[in-house]
Amino acid sequence: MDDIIIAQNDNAETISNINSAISETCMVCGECVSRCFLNTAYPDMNPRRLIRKIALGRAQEMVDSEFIWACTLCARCTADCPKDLRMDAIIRNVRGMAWTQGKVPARIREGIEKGKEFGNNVGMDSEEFIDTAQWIAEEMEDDAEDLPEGALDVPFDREGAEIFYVPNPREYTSNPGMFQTYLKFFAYVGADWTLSSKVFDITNWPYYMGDQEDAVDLVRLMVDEARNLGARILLTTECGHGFKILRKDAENWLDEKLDFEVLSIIELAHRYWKEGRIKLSKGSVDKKITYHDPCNVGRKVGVFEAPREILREIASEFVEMWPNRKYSVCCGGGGSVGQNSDMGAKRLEHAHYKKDQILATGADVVATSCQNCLTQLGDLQARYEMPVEIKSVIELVVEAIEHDRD
Amino acid sequence: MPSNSKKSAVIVGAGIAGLASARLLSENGVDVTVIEKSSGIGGHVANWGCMATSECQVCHCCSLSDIIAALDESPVRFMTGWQLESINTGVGGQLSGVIVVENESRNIREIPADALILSIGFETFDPSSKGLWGYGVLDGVITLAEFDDFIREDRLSELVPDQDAPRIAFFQCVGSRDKSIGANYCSQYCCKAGLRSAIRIKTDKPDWDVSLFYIDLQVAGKYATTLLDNAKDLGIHLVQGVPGEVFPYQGNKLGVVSEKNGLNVRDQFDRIILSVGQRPNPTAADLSRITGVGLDNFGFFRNLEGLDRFRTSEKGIYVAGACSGPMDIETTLTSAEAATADILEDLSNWREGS
Amino acid sequence: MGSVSKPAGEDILTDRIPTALVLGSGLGAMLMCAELAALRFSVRMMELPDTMAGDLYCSVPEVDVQRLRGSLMSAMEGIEVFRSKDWPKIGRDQAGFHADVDHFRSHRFDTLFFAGGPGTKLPALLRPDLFEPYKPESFSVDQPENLVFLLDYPEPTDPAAGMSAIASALSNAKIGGRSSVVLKNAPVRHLHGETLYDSAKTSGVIFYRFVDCSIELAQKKCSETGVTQVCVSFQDCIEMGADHEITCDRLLLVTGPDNEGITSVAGYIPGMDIDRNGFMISDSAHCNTFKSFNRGIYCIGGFSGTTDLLNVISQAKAAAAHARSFALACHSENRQSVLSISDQCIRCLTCHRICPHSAIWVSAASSRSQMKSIGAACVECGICVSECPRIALDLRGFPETAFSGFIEDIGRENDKIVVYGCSRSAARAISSLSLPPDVVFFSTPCAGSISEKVILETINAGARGVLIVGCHHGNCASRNGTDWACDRVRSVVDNFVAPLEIKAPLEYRTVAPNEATKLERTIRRFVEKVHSKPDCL
Ligand code: SF4
Ligand code: SF4
Ligand code: SF4
Ligand code: SF4
Ligand code: SF4
Ligand code: SF4
Repeated sequence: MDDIIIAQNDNAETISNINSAISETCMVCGECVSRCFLNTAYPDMNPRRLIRKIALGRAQEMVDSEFIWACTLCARCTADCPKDLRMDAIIRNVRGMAWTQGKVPARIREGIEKGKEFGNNVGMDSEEFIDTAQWIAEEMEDDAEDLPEGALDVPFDREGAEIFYVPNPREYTSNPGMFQTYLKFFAYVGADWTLSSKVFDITNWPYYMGDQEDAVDLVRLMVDEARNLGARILLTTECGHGFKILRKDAENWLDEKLDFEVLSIIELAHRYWKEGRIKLSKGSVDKKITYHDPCNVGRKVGVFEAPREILREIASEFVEMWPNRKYSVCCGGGGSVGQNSDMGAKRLEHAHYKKDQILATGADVVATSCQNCLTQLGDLQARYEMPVEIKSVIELVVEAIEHDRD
Repeated sequence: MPSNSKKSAVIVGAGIAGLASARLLSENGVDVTVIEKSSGIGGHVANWGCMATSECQVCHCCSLSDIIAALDESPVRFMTGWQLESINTGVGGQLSGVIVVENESRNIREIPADALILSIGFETFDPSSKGLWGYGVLDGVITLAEFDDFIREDRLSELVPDQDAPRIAFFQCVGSRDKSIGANYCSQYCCKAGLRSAIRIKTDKPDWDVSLFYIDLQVAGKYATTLLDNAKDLGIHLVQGVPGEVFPYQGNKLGVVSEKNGLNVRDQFDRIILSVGQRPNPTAADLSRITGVGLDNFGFFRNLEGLDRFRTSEKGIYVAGACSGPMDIETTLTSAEAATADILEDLSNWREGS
Repeated sequence: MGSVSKPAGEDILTDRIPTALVLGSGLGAMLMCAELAALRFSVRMMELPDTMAGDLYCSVPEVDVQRLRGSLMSAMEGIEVFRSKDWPKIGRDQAGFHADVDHFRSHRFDTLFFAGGPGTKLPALLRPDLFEPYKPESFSVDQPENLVFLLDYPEPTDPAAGMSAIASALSNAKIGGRSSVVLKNAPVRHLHGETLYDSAKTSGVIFYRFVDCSIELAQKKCSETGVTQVCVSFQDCIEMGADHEITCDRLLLVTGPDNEGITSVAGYIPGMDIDRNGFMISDSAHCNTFKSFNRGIYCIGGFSGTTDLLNVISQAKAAAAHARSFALACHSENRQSVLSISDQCIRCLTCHRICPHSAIWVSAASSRSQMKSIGAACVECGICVSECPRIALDLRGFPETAFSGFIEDIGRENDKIVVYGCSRSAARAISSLSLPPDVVFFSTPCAGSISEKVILETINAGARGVLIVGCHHGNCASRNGTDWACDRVRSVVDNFVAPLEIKAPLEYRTVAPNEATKLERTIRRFVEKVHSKPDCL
């Protein structure tokens, strides 16, 4: 008998395994079929079928399908895959083929090209970024009253700062309120932080497209900048995939150890709260709150308890959705679907499962910790007229700090 | 040791494997002591029901009763509530003729042992660790062993109260063939057990709707065709692909999605029966420390290969039954009796050599 | 003769050296011989005519066929091997077995083994010319080839044979060949079966799952090389979109052990069991997969329906250990008198014919032939006793007086409901139950020991109802004892109860020993039925 090679599929998505046929050990168990929230929207397609098509030499059919663009890379289907396969990696592999064939949604292609030129997907240069960020901060004068002089100033390129903060472009384009929330947070905790005038986009659209080369370049930019600045913490904003890539994949992709910590702002807030650096007014939010686990922050990285502990402290009532944590249902907007204008209204129709889950909790507030989820949940709320408020965990944290200060 | 004394064997674990070895060793003139940690004998099989329809389905459960009846008339000694404390090895690592056992109140006793059989069996997989099956969360999701209670206690009609024609589904490979939980092996008993149970239901209750979701049916041996044909003839739906999620559906129903004929189909059931796999017995680790018999990657006792597959790295220590790998009852019985042959062989050789 | 050393430990081996005859050829027979020799049997092997070595057994992880064959060769040294032109006719008498062929005529042995198999199955197929049977023991690939292994066609493939095929597909893929496996169920029934399957997949073996009845075969000439190829087309049960088509140089059909011809083989052994699937050895769980109703006769390997070498090794060892204890016990004085045959016998041969354990033989030694009981083979089921027209038979452990005494008691205590039950099933199940006050339970050796006469006498004695409980059909320790009970109850109902309008209900039911609750319900229902009848008789 020949020696048996025990098939290995490492959990981390390394460059080599994304480019090889990572789907081959699939044993068609069917587990993933039932777990994909798209199984009603695409009745003749499911993750297992996709793998079978690849295995039987029909990958091109998938390259040309809408399914690969509807998939949110949520990886819920393969959360417990008996063969440790990872659907997000497999879909990115197929999208990679589409990318090389020039078949990717226009809006995403544009974003990637801007990213290559400017280092961010909105095509903003350094000067414009500095101006915008300062302008947003100035708009907050009212809040500055009870803070020490200069607490709301925006630091740029401060070498030796403990924290290098990387925002999501939404904060300086469509949703400046978010940026203000983070500024307040830094001010309240008295953080030693900085922005970079060169690297100010946490997102990584090439990753979505299976364009591994460009994805690695973007990570390299961020890592180098963190080193240049001598930061001890690379702090990511509430951005699921951006955080996940830096935390989980960067060392593998770059094949080197990172000499700084990668933290999401939720983890930092949680740490400061545990250390007593911030005080959260207990029960200050007199509402029933539930938490939506972003796929990247939760299932893929494993940050489940920090946001829950915070929410339990500040909410008068906390309820769980079912299923949650590792098995959380995707909001429906991840993996480029939210950015892909081709998926337009469909992304809201596809997400009916999430809607039902939210309504079943009877919560007043849905908190989450990813700006992409936040946008999608907000759109869902409007589309289905759900009687809930959608908030980021940090917004609630800042409110609770303020409540305590009053 | 006086030359005319009988040879002794100690069997650790009074499941069906240990008992089968005990009987055959005793019939071959060996002095046998069975030690069992718990207070009862018979192990898992003692809790399983008969699957006979109009005829026996050859599940081998009732063999236990044959074996116990034979043991009742034999000189085999039982020590329930006792476990292995230590062993003594002599020259060449051979068991030196006594082992030490201990009971819950920490009493220690030495018993003669020229051979030691490890037959501690397995533990069933706890399906709540893969949360989306809803075991422990949704009322209608039960394990095969829990279903077996309804058969053993002759109350199948109560499986789904207030339902004339309920829909029942079996999920195969639950906790087996699964790397994500460290069990990348087939448990070998569950396909047949699931099929027999489905056939049993459908024979008793022809109006019920029974489905069996599987990955690959492993029906080995000459009964394979009979089982499959019976299942098909009775109208049991055999569906390739096991749903990975069960959700509450229209009140107290259980919803699943599976792929049938190339389409994702939503089904609803009243009961879902999980054919849970076999995991290594957690006490194997302790016994491994005491005896020196190693464990394999999965946590089963490591046996030697080929013709020596009931022997271990330690001279005089043997394995029988599912503690060295998952097995159905039929294979367990054969393996337990096979281990007996090796002991008889070694005991007579050893005498010659010494 | 085989050189068998005298056993050393008198405590476990007696002075008598047990003897064995192994019928068969190939790996299974060698294995059986080796195990018997290890247990100090004096062993002889007889190679069967029209040799049946089927290259049947499969290397699976943990056992390699070639390596095993090598190690068995040395174990076979000193074991006498005979070849016979004809099938031996096996006989059995009080002194043991004898084979009626060539120079075996004068040899006797204590135990008999069938080991080996009638080869791999070749089902009737539409285009047999396109297939090649996959023979696990001899299959090897030296050159990269383009192979298709077809499993589960037309019947489920034995998982062991299937795993062996996967291993072959893998080794072909590893040297650069193209391997495809077309199946319905991937075989993984082994601790390392899943790992083997994984390795095959990662090494480039492609697995397809065909939809029932979708396979089509054709021959094609390769336009470049001019070589004839086989083209297999089918639908994949998951990727149903379009038909799949694979061309290959060789199409290997993977099946399992063959049962063709076993019936004729078994014809040479009186009363040998054939199960409902056409394999030797009984279906009864009681016999596991290697024992038979004929005590002292064992069967391993392909004959018993398995090609899994791990299983065959276990069977050989277990059979040897069982045979040893049987051989030690069968000569004991104690066994010789379990059944007595009185001179009331008129040699109608009924007992000889119906004994499910072939435990009665006809001695033609003297001028008058005589019925003789073979104590070692008799399991004391009492079936013969129940059918003897002359009441010439009596079991020491369960004498005729046992029934008559009980029936007398019933006559004295009026209005009892009688439950007769097999000692192996009903009696064990009932031990944990408390019975209604008017029910009396009587344990019988086998449900088949209850004759029509006993049933009628019980009713006549005044029982208000008679319930007979046997083992489930197919799990009777005496093959068909429970069926005897069923037939007799039916016959008594048809011939007496109905015509004579006897009111006492008479029923037959089956249980297993682990069905106490079911038995309780069965008895309760029966009692209700009795009580609902107006006073009987
Ligand atoms: S869960 Fe994994 S092994 Fe199962 S069908 Fe899906 S990808 Fe394949
Ligand atoms: S959407 Fe999520 S669940 Fe569906 S295939 Fe993509 S990763 Fe899997
Ligand atoms: S083997 Fe199983 S099905 Fe057959 S009688 Fe015994 S318990 Fe019942
Ligand atoms: S026997 Fe069947 S159900 Fe059990 S693990 Fe193996 S394939 Fe799965
Ligand atoms: S059945 Fe009775 S009468 Fe007939 S041969 Fe046997 S012992 Fe003699
Ligand atoms: S009692 Fe049973 S086994 Fe013995 S001879 Fe009579 S029928 Fe045969």
